Amino acid sequence: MKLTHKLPLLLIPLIAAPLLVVGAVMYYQLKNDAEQKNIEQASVLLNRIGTRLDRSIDIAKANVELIADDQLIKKYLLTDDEEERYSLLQRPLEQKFVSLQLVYPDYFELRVILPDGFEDIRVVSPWLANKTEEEGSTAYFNLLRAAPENLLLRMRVNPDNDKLALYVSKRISLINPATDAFNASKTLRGFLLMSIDLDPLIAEIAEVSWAGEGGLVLTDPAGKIWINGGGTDNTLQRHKTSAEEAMPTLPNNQQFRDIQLAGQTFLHKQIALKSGFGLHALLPESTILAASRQAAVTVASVLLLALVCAVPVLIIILTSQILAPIQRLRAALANVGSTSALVTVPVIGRDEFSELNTAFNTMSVRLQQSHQQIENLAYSDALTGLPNRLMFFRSVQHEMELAKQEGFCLALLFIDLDNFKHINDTLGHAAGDTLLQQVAKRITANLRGSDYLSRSEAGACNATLARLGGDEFTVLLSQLASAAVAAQVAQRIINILSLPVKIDEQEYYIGASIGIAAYPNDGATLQELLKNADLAMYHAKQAGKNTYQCFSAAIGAQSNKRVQLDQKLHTAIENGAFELVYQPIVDCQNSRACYLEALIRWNDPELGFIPPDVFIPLAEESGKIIAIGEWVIEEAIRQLNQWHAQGLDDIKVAINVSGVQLGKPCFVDHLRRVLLAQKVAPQSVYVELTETAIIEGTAEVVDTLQQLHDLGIRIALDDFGTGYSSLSYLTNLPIDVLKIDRSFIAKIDEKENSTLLSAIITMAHSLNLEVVAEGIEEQYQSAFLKREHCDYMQGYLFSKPLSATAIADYLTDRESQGRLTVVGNPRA
Amino acid sequence: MQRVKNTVVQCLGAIFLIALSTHAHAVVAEQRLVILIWNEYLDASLVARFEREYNAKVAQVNFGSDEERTAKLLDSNAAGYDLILTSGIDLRSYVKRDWLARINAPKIANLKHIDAELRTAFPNAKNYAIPYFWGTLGIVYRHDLLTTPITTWKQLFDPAPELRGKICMVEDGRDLISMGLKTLGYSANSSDKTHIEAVEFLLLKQKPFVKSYLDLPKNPHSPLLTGDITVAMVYNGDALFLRQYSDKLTYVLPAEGGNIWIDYLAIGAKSHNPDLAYQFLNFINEPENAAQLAQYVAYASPNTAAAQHLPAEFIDDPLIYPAEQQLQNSEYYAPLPPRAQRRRNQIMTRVLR
Repeated sequence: MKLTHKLPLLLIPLIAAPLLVVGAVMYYQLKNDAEQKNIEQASVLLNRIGTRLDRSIDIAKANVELIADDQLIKKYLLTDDEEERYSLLQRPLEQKFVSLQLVYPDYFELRVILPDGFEDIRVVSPWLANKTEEEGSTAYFNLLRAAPENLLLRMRVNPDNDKLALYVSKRISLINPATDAFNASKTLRGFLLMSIDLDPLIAEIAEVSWAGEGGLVLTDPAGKIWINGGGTDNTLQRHKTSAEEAMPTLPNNQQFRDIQLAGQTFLHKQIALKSGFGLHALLPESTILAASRQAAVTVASVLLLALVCAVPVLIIILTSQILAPIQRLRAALANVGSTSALVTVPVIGRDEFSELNTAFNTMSVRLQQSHQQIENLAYSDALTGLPNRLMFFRSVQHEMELAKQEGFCLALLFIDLDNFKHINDTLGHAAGDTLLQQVAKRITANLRGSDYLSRSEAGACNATLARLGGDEFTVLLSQLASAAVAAQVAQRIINILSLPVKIDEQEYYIGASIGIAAYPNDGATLQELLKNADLAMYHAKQAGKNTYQCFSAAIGAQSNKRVQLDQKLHTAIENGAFELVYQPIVDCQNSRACYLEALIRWNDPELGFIPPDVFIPLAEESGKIIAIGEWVIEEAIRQLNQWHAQGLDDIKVAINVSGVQLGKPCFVDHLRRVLLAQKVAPQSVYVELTETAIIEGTAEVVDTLQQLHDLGIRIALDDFGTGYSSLSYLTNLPIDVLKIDRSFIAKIDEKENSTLLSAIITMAHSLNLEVVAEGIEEQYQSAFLKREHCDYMQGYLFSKPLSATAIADYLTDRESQGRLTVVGNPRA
Repeated sequence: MQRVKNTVVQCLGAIFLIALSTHAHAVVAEQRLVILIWNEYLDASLVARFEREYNAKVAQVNFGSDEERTAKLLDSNAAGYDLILTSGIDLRSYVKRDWLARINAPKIANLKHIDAELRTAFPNAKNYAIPYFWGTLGIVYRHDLLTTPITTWKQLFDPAPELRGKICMVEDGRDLISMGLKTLGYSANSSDKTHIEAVEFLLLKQKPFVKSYLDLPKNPHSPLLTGDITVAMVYNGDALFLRQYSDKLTYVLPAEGGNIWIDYLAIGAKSHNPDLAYQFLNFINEPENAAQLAQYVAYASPNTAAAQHLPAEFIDDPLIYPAEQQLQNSEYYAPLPPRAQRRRNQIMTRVLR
């Protein structure tokens, strides 16, 4: 379960439980208070009304006594003469009654009734029609006349208006001083009756708040209920008879006690009034229950309100103070895992959360640092610290996007170190690494410098150097104003890489070839751009190294042609597209052809003749040179065998071999197998290889050469003089023949050249090497070489390369013809 | 209430004077004469002259209605009053009640001037009292404030809306009911139950229009003069008395006819000084004195000899001395059967509460 739910579920009971306890206590307190209050109220009311009623009765009694004792009424009653009574006495007496009513408005009726029942005076206010003036036969008058006491107090319904009234009557008995003796017994002269309005009292009793089922009840001594405050439809009214029977038996409770009345339970208290009436307070149970209910409702609403207020407030506080920080932390933690950006949470206050947040922030910062490191590792080259291939690709992509939007140029510089492989091979990997580091440092420093330069010169330009691997570096020039800037940068790089690099106190020259491809002209995608830069670099390399080359449509086309050639090469052998031609090499002494150099020719049905210097490097790159080389060997030796079989048994074949072939360990085995198969003696074959094949060749090459030499196969060094190899170096190699490059022969008429040529020949002879001069086209060249004791000559002066059949004819004729007519292109 | 208070003050005054007179009697030779009489019904200068001539002190106890007078007499059983002014109709009861002393005629020499007819107009009158003044009961109104001149009782008892709250009626059941009867065209002395009940209805209906039931004050501040009251039931002399303060008053003897009343002076049965009372009665009936008194109160004097001392305009004033024809419909009050009187009492208790 989540904390969001758990906390409220935990806290709500925690709040609710004490509240409920408090509520319970409160409820009992309130209930008791309410009950007590009800009882007290009832008591107070009962006492007040009782006291008032008592006092009213007292006052009424006193007033009746007072009026009855008044001289006027006495005179009136003693006046037997009606005329006198009515014309003289009645009006003043009535006036007196009116005055009394002015003071006591509730004495609504004041009457004088004569002993015969004649209602002689009746003063009534407010006006009420009189039912009868002859009261002689009425029950009340008879009661009055029969009553033993002079003062009679009765509660009864006034027949004039059917309303309950209190009747106070006084029997007036007098001695007539005019006629009677002073000690004569009094004779009844009449009755004074006062009717008191009970409406205010009834209203007050009916007002009692717990009316309804109970109320204040006024009973006379007989138990008759005169006023029922509970209204006309309460239990007491419905069961009036039984209630009235029970009333006199009720205990005279001074305190509230439970009683049973009319089948109901009441809290009862009674006040005995002076008049013999009883005033009862009947508190129904329901009133008490209502009080409890009221208390319960109050408590429940307070509790509910407290809960309703407290819980949301608490939840809000919890949420803001605890859950929100946790959520923030959680979200931050989730972010830390998912994003590489630095994630922090705000530190507010000084509580545990702020400490936690601080700790989190510290952790996040460290994590971020580690993350950065990892990223650096992933995106940078461990050796040089430069961006690696991955990083470089990314930034190129990014910059390309940018350039697309902003309309800038991009240039990709593909740098390949010219002599790295050599240094790496000769000095070992450690030296190679050092070299790479120095190169990286040097280019970086230069680019940094050039930043300022380029900014001042040709606008903004950002340069990013990366190492793609091996000795390949790239420079990304972004936000270029023009592609020309790229050429400047390339030239600078070439310049600084032309300076020697110091490794182990030794200085080495490396040089670099750079290809440049620009976006968007030279490629719309990274791959295209990179390929084209690579191509351009390749061209630079072709062009003689230590230079740069911008990618162009021509390069693209050439590249396309190369690709086409490369494809054709695949099937060329099977299709028999290759053929071998042979050029004789003649002995200087007798001009007799003793060697034939096998030269490969490729005639494609679609592309026509393809010169070897075009497809051989391609074949070397793609490795097809192995298959081609093997075919050449097999074909040349088979042909040689055929010639031997034809009787030309002293002829020998020179086979050109690539450095790549020599690097393969199976090369010698293959050659031996072929010789064996064709039953050709190894001495009949010699292999020609170029200087570079040896110099750039690995240890295996030297090994292979040694094996060939051991087999008895002679080894010729082709194109001598174009490379950097020194003669002394060659002495360590099992070389038998030196073929002097045609460039020397072409310039043979130049003085220095001829001197150098004769020196080479002399030195070669001193090293016990035979010398072959190639490219002989003129007689004077031949003459010079013969003079200088050159061993063999080759060239159009003797013969152009010929097909195998033509060679057979040529060789047959060689005895007779010292020389061949020169035909065709000298370099065909 | 004001009236009650006045009464109380007057009573206290009377009792004080009575006490004083008995006390004075013992010390000084000055004699005291206490007269129970209507307000402003004695000429002060005449009284002063009497006091001088007889070395006496005259005290008045005043009342505002016949009923008030009766109540006062009931209170003391007529004790303390030397002279009692009573209306003719009450004479019989007062005599019955033994409140009045028999007149010893020889003691009043001027009795010879008194109109004989008036002396016998009511039972017992001749033996127990001598006529003081006679007059009529009518209506006085402010002719300047009313749009319609008043000529009938009906206009008063069944008043027009403009009279609401502007009416003053005498506080006397007999006058109210009798004139009510006259208004309805009955005899003022009718004891017919239906007549009486009709009058009760009339009076209760009139009650909301009535500002007050009282004896109209006879002084310059009288509400009739201020205009608080515009019409009043009044005894003719009182109206004339008030006319001395304003010429905007008109007294009418209503067309339905009214009441002819005679006031008598009687000697209290319990008088302490009946001789002085006789002297007083004789004094005021000296023709000159009678004339002076008549002019003061503006009532018709029963003293025939006074006429020679009265100015012609007084004697010729039809309001004071109405012609026979004017009095054609008017009646003296007659004694009523007791039960009829009782019925009237009940009505008055309702009307005058």
